[in-house]
Amino acid sequence: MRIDLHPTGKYGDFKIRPGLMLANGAHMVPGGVNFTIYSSGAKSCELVLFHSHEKEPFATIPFPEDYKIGNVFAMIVFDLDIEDIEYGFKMDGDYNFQRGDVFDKTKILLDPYAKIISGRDVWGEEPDWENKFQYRSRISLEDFDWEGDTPLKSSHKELIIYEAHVRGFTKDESSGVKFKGTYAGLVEKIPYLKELGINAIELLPIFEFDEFEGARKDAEGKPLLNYWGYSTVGFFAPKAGYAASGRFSMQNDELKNLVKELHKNGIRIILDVVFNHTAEGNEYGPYISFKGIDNKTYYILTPDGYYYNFSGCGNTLNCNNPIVRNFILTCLRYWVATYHVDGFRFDLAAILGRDAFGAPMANPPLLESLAYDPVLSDSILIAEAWDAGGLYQVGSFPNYGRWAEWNGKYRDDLRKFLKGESGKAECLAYRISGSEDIYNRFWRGDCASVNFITCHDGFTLYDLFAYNDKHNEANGWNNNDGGNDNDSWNCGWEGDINLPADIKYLRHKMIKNAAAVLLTSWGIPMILAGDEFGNSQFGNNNPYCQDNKISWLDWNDFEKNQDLYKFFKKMISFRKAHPVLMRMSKDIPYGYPMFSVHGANAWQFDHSPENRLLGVMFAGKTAEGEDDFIYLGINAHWESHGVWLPQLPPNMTWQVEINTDLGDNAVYDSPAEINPENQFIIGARSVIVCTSKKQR
Amino acid sequence: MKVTVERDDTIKILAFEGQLDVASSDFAREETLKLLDDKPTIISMAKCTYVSSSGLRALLMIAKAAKPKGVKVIYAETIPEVMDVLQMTGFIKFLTCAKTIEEAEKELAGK
Repeated sequence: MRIDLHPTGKYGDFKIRPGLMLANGAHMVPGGVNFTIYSSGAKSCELVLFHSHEKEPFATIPFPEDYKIGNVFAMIVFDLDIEDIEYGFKMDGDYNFQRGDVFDKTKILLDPYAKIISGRDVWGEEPDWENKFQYRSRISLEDFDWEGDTPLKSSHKELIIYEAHVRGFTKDESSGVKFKGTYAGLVEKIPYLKELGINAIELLPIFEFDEFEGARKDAEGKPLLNYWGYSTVGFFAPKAGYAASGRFSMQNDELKNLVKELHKNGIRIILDVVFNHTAEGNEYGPYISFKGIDNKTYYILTPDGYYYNFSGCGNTLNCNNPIVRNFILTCLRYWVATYHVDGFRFDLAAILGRDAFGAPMANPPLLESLAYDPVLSDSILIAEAWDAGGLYQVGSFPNYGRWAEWNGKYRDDLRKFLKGESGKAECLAYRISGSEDIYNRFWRGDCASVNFITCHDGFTLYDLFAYNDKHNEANGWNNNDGGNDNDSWNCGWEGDINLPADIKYLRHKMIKNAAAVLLTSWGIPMILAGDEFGNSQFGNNNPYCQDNKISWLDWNDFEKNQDLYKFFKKMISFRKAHPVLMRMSKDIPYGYPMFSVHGANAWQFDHSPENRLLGVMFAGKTAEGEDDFIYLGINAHWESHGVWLPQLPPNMTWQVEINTDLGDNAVYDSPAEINPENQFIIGARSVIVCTSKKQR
Repeated sequence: MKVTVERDDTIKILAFEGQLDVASSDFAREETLKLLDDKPTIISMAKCTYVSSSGLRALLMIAKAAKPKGVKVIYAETIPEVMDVLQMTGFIKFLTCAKTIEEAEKELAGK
């Protein structure tokens, strides 16, 4: 028993004592709970205690004067029922909008370090809007039996990322799971993920957010919610509404179980995190937490006290302020140490490099801290390297040789080339090479480029080849929302109504073409969940508000489009079987470059703008040390073309393993040898993948 | 929360009655561990109406404490609401469960 953990004071019936100044938020201590909170401007602070889900507090305990050191308030309150109480803080201080002080002692504020948040316990359950305390901090039992689990440690080069939305992944009836739309439902689908072969799942935001933020009704009266969740309420708390056990405040256990089960199956977990702004909006937005605790510390403000809006969402977090920087660092360390998370994708990450006035910094302290942090040293850090303020840093994101980026150029160039645009063959060669033109391998390493052709933001892969135009009418903005530069092509028929069989055939071929290139390119491939079985959003390229069949994966498509699923599965296993595709080959066959570009004739690339034919050869070794050559032939032209494959060493021949021109037979049961005396004819809009074979 | 001994011969059958929450989980755990000896034990959960986070940990700690003693503990007759919580949180993987006392007895007999 420590001698400094006994009560020294009383407030009413509550036994209290000065708390732990170096802690953050609420922690259990023997016999009580420690509450610590920082504010640079608050003159006083009160702890407000509620019984679970009660509208009125049962106690308000002021922090005594001597329970404060510097700007930190800390108090231990004894004999609390940790499973019953919900707590918040009230802060009193100046109100001077121009100076950034907006203290309001009537507001009950969420603890920014809350590990569990209640108030939105069950997804979509309409809250009591009269309740003055909407988002409630709770105390978390941090213990969990990990049974030896840690974040996974295999090389980032091996990653094959699968981007998914927790709710949308299993919410539809067709998912067949018991706990639909939840972390527990995702656990039930792990055998599927393992069978597919991916080894990392990237979840759209799972930090607590409010699905009712900005909620509307569509023309038919159906609710439009904040479905994606890019608007954080609490950074340390998992979204309760994604937990089947959220109504019992067990979301932390449920999520930890998901992580443990994923790891058992060799699958990493990457979180999409939103540190660029919060759900508090601008001067018209609600007081949730930061605004009432320390507005001018946490937000970037104009000289007259308004909120800069580099996020496009009303406010901008002041990421490079030392207090905020530590907050973010502590948060990420918490997720790695406590939840065993393997990495993060940072939404609108360019904001993380802006200074207190919004100007981009050459050496942003936050990004540097994250790059060199010891707890995060095995974590993959992925930047969405742009923001809504016009800062576009793809290729130039401050990286310290550590950060990867969502490579938007890869997406754009691959889309343009595949649909047959002129002048894109050379660009695509760069993209397949890991975009060496923008990611210098010497500085950036082998994993800087996260390659993708689709992500949650935009068309699904099926829709990319099914719609020329976005169809976002259901979003309620007269189809004015969502991007217009989709580089999509409907293959000659808009949508699916009365779809001719030949168009459907072509779409499937285009999808396979995209998958073949994505999964043979250098860099880290990312697949959007459902693309592997032709999931459609019916032409909606911005379903951020669609909590319904537009967004939910339709697992009936898995049965219908087995050819696509089998193709993705084959390409994933193919990538894993060839270290050279992951830049993991330990050696190169003598005399060959590891990566070379070819045209109709080997070693002769056609630089003319009308060329729509690209051959790429990778040369390396298998895991067993055997010479390994791979030829990727991409014909985006609407006519077939003959190609001469590069000559192999004397004892080797080419064999074709994949040919998307063969419909359901695109994957050869056994590879077919290619006669070196003849050209190989690549069909119109088709991709071939060939491998080397030792002659007997 | 009540912990009662329902049977004590070749096997022991205990019964939990009430809510297993922060107020009762320490008591339930300590009381159960006191009652555990070297006999295989079935804990009837038929009248356990709620299990909180602390309760989950109590169930786990009982199972973990019995293991090194070589005592097999089976939770039986768990009501569907509580069984759902065990499944959602993954705690079910740490526990041996049976639908009925008879099933639990068969399991203990190795049938």
